[in-house]
Amino acid sequence: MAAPKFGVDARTPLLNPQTRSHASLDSETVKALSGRASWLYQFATGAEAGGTDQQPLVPLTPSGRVGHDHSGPPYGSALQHPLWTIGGVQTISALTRDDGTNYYDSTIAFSIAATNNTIEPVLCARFYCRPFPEYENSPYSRAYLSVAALSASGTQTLKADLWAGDDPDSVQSATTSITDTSWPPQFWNPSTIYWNVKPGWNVHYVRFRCTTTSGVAIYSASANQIVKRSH
Amino acid sequence: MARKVNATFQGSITQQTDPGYPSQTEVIENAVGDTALTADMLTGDNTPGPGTIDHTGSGLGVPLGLPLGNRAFWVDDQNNTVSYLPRVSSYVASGGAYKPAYLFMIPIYLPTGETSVRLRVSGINDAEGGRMVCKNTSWADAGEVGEAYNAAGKYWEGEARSLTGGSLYFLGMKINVGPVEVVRRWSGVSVYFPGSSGPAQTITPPEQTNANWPQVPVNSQAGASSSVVLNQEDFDASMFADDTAYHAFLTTLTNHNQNALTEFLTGSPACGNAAYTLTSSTGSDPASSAFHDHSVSTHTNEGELDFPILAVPLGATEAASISSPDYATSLWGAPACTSASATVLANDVVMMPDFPDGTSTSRLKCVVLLTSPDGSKTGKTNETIACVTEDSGGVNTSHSSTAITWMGTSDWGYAVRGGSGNRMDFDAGAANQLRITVTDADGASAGVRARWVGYCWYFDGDG
Repeated sequence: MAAPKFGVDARTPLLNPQTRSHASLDSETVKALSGRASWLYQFATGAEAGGTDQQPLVPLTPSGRVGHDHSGPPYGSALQHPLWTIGGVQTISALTRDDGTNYYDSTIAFSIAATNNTIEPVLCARFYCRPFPEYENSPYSRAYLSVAALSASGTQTLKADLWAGDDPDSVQSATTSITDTSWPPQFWNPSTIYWNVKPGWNVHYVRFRCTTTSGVAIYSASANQIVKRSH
Repeated sequence: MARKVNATFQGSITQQTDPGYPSQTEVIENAVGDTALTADMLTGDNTPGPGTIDHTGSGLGVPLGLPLGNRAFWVDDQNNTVSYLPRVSSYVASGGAYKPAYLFMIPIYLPTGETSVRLRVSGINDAEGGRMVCKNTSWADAGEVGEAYNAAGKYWEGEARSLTGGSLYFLGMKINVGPVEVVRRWSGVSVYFPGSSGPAQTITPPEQTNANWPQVPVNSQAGASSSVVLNQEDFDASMFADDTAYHAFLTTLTNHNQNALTEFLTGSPACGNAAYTLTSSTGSDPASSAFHDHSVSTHTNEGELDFPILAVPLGATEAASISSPDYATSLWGAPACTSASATVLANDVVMMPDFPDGTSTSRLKCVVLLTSPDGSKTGKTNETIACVTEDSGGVNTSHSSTAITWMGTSDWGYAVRGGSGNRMDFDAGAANQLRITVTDADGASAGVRARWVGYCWYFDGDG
C-alpha cells in the first residue's frame, strides 16, 4: 500500500508538457513553481513562508503544529523509539531500601514456570502516544514487544500474549526459546505480534507464560515503534 | 558556477502569478532559489544561512513533541502471587506536624524548542494534596507549576511552564506526610507534551489522490548499495541575469527538483505517483538513506535531534534535611548502593532510532538523580555511575564511570554519562539493552547512604 499523500492544491506538480520547450509559459506554471517552493519551505521549517493569505499553506501536524514532525508519512519518515517501558533488576544485597530490605525494582524481575501455573504475570501499561496520521499500516499504528529475560536452567519456552485495552478479544501470541542463564538477560523481539495503537492515551496488556518446568525470569520489556515509513 | 540559492526565503506575491500579470524573471528565480534553500536546510549541505533543520523550532523545524517517557508499573496475576504496584505507606511516626516527602522525582532533558511539559501519574488511588515540583540544575524552583487530581479518572497531573528548552530539569510529585497513615499506589508515570486542541487537517486517502494524474518525474541519483537518493539540479545564478530568457531546462528541472524534495521530506510518494522513486539501501539503519530522517547517513551534515528515549522514577524519598524515614513502611523507597563494586541499578530493553552511533559520534546520554537522605553531603563524594549498552546480538559495550555533581547547597546531585569526551555506542535502528551501574565507595552506614532516585536516557542534538 502506498503511503497517503496530501491533496493536490498547493503541491500540484507540473507535467513535463507544461514545462518543456514550446510550452506556453502561462500563469499556472509560475504559480505552481512558486507555490510549491513556499509549501516545501513551510513544511520543512515550520516557519511562515509569507505571501498569499498569511495562513499556513501546509496542513497542521496531527499534534496541531505547523510543519513536519516525523509522525509518519506524509508528515515525514517516522523514527524508531520506545512507546513505553517497564523494567527491573535482580534482587541483590548491594541495593537496599529505607527499611533495609533488598532493592527489588519493581515490576517484573521474577520467575514464571509451568510448575506453578497460577503465576502468569500480566503487565499493564497506560501510556501517551503523540498524535499521528491514522491509516492502515502507518508506522505508529502498531507497537512491537521487546523483552529481556533469562532461563532458570537450560532451554525454556516463553510465551507472550498481547492485547490492547480497548480490544480484549484480539489476543496475539508468540513463543520463543530462552537459553541464556546468566546475566545479562537475553533479547526477544517477536516480529509477528503487535499491539494496535491510537493517538493519545492507550492501555496495553501483555501476559507471559512459561510452558517448561524450570522457569524464566523477565527483567525488562517495552513496546516500540519500529519502522520509518510503513509496516 | 555561482549556484543559485536564496540566503533567506523570498517567495512571491499572489499578484505576480495571476493571469494577465506581466511575467517577471524574479518569480522563477525565487522559486529556484527558495527550493535550493529548503533542500540545503534539510540536508545540511552548503551551510545554509538560516541553519539546518533539527526540530528546535524558530524556523528550524517544529519540535517533535515525543513523550519524554512512559513508565509502566502494573503487574498482576489471577492470584496476586506476583502483584506489584509502587506503594508508599506514609505517616509521621513521631506524630506532630506534617512533613514533606517526594513520592518520586525524575530527571528529564527538555528538548530545545519546548517550554512546558506535563507529568501524569496514572491509576493513583489518592493524590489529594500532591504538588508538582520542577527544579533546575541548581536545585532551584523552575518555571510556573500547577497540578490537579482527577479522582474519577484516577490520575494526577502536573504541568510546568516557562521552562527553557535544551536544559536538564527534575520533575516530581511532593506530598505531605501526616499523623494518619495513607497508602498510595499507582500504575504508571508519563512525561509528555499535550497534543493539539483539535484534530489535524484531514489528509487525502491514497485512492482519492490524483487518481488520474500522470506519473511525475522525481530528480534522483544512484546511491550506495542499490539505493536511489535525492538529487537536486543546481542552476547558475547568471541564468537569471537581465535580458536572459526563460527556458524549458529551468522550468522542467525545477519541477523535478520539487518533486524529489517532496518525496524526501514527506516520506511519501511524490504528488501523483503511486510508489516511491527514492529507496534506501535497507529498511533499518541503511548505509544510504533516501529520506529525511536525521540518520546522517547519505547527508552527513543532516541535523541531529534532541530525542527522548525513557525517563524513570526509582523510589520515594524524604524531602531535604529530614533525618530518618518518617514513612513507616516505604515499600517503594529509593534504593541505596552498599557496594564499592559496580552494581546494576537499572536495565531497560528498547528500540533505538537510526541515529549516528559509535563512541566518537553518538549523542546518547544518561542522567541519574540521587539525594542525601540525612541532609548532609559529608562523606558522600564517592558515588559514581557507569553505563553499559548491549546490541541485539548480545555484544556489550561498557562506558566508564562518571562522578556525581551535587547541586549547590542542596541535598541533591546528578551525574551525566555521554556527550563530548565520553560518548556511548549503541546499535542504531535495533533493540538495545541500556544498563546503569552505580558504586558507593564511602562506606557510610546504610541509613545515610545516598539514595538513587531516578534516571533518563535521551539524545542531545548538541552534545
